[in-house]
Amino acid sequence: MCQVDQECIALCLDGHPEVFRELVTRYQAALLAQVAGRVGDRGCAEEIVQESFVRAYFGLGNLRQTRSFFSWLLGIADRVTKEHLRDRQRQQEVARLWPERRSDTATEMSNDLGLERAVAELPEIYREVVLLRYYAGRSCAQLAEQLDIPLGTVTKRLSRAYGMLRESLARYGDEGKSSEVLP
Amino acid sequence: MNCSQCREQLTGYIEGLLDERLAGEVALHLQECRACKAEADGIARLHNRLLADGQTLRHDHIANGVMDQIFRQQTIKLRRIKMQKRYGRTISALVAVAAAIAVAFFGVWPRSFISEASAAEVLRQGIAAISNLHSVYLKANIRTVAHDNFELIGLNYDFVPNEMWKQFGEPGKWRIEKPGRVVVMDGESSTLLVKPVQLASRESVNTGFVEWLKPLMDVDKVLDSELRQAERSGWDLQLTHEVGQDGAPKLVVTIEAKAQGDYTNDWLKNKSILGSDTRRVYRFDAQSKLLEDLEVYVHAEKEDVLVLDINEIAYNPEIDPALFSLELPEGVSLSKEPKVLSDNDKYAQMSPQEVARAFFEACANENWDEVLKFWSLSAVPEFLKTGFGGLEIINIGEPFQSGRYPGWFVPYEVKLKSGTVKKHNLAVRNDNPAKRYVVDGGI
Repeated sequence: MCQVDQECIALCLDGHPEVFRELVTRYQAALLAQVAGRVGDRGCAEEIVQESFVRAYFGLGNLRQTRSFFSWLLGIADRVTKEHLRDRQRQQEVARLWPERRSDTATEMSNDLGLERAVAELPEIYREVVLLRYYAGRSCAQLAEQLDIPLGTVTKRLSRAYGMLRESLARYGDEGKSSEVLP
Repeated sequence: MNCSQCREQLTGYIEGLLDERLAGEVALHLQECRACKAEADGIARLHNRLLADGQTLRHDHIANGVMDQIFRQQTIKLRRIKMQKRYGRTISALVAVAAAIAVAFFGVWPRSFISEASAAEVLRQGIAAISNLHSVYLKANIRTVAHDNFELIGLNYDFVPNEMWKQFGEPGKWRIEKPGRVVVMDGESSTLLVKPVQLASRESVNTGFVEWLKPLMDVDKVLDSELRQAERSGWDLQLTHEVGQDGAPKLVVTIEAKAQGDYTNDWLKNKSILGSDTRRVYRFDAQSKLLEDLEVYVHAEKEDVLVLDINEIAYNPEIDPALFSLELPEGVSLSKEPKVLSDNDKYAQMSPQEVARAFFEACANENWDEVLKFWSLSAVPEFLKTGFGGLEIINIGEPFQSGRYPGWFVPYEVKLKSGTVKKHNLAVRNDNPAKRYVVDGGI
């Protein structure tokens, strides 16, 4: 098992594609959260995330800074999401013109879509720390190492992200599901 | 602790990052201050909600789907290459048979077969499909060295990404870049920067800095040139049909091309695309006739080696104008065209071997003014001073010529001050106004 992304990438490029599974497992939840928050549909999100990972695998040779794999992956997922949304818009236009040809877009919701939508709306530097912390299961210290920033910067970014997330959730009238609070 | 100090520490407190003393102070403040307690509870709720959602999504198993797709696509790619090698002619023949059956049964020649009559025709259609190009972007993986010549390839080298942008018009502008080297033509001049050694050169618009890569940006001219070369030299040209990964039909033109130049001495053989016997595979979309990718394989002794793979072509993309300017960093050594020296005759009479010896002797003596007479730069680069200063000449060999290079290669063996023995071929050429041999590579 590779501890850091760079090792996994080097092995993949060295003819061990199976190692890529490790990167998929590591970041699938983070990508799913971002994409589900944008498309509002868990089924579509899974397809987009799958396509993003496949594109990332075949583009590994082009990645200049292997340390920045996660940011690069987010960028790919962003592009695939935009392509999907464009296609969906086209399908909806066709559906309006030809009502009998209904576009069939599933709407199975993610468990906490409201939260994922708020996360997806965060500016990139804040979104990145939230996705890595909560969806890739990184500790603050691991996050600091991976992003090459001081621990204090990680906590500052998280604090700022919390503020923005709470504002966003309040705007949508969705301030909390969990009742657990500090003792 | 006041409210502002407490709130600054809340994230660290929730994450358990505070030391015992500070955590105690925060806890105490939260017991006493309702507002801060409400704020902390809000953050804790969000924290728990994020943790729960993260846990749920981590149980999603999409890895199997991803890995299946990767293996399937890799198999398709491999099969595609093998199919082309083994069955290229068979598929063409089958297509012809199918067309003949259509004529026999329906008395017509299907339109698709008429428009796909031959490989040459596909190339012509490819040229016509991009007649209104105003910009192009290409991304290629090339087996090369990141900071070395753009033309250089090596069968054992790793793939290095190369990107190319071109804006057509009067004047046209372009940029070609790989991790260690960049060339920008801004409409008035071409500037080359070799990043790791801080060497630069600024020359005319039509510089040869990028050799084979530059014409690649004129996709229509490349296709036209292949067509003419194939006709002139009797190259083998094949057309095959395949279904692409996107499910759409593709037309594949395969060209077998011979190395150009004299390789009696094979130093430059298989070190550039033009200096190799190659198979070039152009893949067009059957519908739009647009070129979608290009693969170049070198016929090596044991197997064909993929050395260039253009895997992304964007036609008429919007290109950031900033890409067409290149600011040179301070302290860069700028290469200049050699000027006629006051004692030019002395140098112009030297043979390539004498020039190589004189150059290395100047390095050995750390006589940098003399070095600049053999390597026309604005200043001696730091890497030359530290690496080659004080060297010891072991041997200077017999010069030779190879391939299409207009100058000479002089084999040399020197012992550097570091103790390393360097054995290589110094490239020198005299096609300059001063008519004297100057160093052009091989350092």
